[in-house]
Amino acid sequence: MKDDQSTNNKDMDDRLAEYADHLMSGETHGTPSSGDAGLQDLEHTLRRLKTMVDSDRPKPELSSLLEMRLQRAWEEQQNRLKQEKRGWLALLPGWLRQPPPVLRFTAVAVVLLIVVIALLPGELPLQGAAGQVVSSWLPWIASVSLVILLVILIDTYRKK
Amino acid sequence: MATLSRQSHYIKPDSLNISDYINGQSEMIMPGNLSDETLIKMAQQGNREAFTSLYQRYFPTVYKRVRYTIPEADVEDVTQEIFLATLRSLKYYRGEALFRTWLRTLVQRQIADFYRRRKPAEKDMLALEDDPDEEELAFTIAAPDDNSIDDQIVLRQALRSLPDHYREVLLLRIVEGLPFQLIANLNNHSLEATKSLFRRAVMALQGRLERIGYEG
Repeated sequence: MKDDQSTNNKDMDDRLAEYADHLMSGETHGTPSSGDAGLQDLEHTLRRLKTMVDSDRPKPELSSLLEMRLQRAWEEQQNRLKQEKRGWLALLPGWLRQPPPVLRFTAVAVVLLIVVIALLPGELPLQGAAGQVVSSWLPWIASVSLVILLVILIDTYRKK
Repeated sequence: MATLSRQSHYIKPDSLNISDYINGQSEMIMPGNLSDETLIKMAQQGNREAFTSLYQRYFPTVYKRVRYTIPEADVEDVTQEIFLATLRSLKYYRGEALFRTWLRTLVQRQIADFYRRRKPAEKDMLALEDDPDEEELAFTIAAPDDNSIDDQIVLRQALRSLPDHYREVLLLRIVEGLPFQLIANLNNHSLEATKSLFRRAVMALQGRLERIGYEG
């Protein structure tokens, strides 16, 4: 019983797919139609859908309007690219010039961490010669990082 | 004579040297004749006409996809956003997939973003509710055949209200004209499963139409 239903469904799948292929071929006459009433209803629905899709065309004014906006966006993008090529940012590699959000967030977090550590009162618990160097240079590292971050933020804001 | 001269200078798109085109040495080539991939390369090198050609080629399909998926009032904005996103992402296209596949992914992402910006529960309501803009559209077109416009409005509403996988298979076959085998490959399904999904999608559409009260 279950096998019969499955075979019947598969037969319907094939026949409806064949009907869809026929519709899509652009032939409107002589479309094969089955005697099965259930399948005929589906064919009818499909035919209505195809008729709607064929007659549904975007308004030419909308197409022209979007085209104009795209052209303006294109010009803006090209100008931005030219500016980037001319400015100091051109010296940086692409991934640094337009860093992905994760990298940008990490960079800001690292800079802020350095600044917070630099502002902590007292000596850092660092051992050895390297520790001494880091401790003594930390305020400078923090200051420079902060300045670079500010320059990048101002540059980004200016472009927007 | 002019026609003959034009024909003799015609260069097959396949043999096109892109840098020649960009430098204006292949003026006889119309961008409309070129493959998507050639146009993409040209656009990536700064040729605006190439991008415009791609837009003109895909605008009707993208527009219909959007129109059958989201409410009428937002179709224009979302369609515009899709092409702006295409423009922004152009430099990232590496040709690993066909352009139309890449664009389809972008369209789906933008539509998903559209619904993400709204509350998720709104999606079904938006699809099912009577769209005032649809009514206005029917009114302003001033139909020579009112019945056909009513049918279209009801059909669009029914299509929008379908579950995503049903609507997708109908759009791929009927709007984009992809053969069943290609749809099966895209979805990693067998051909039989795709045909079965298609039949169930048509049945679901029919059910929605009956529920809305359509008597096509």
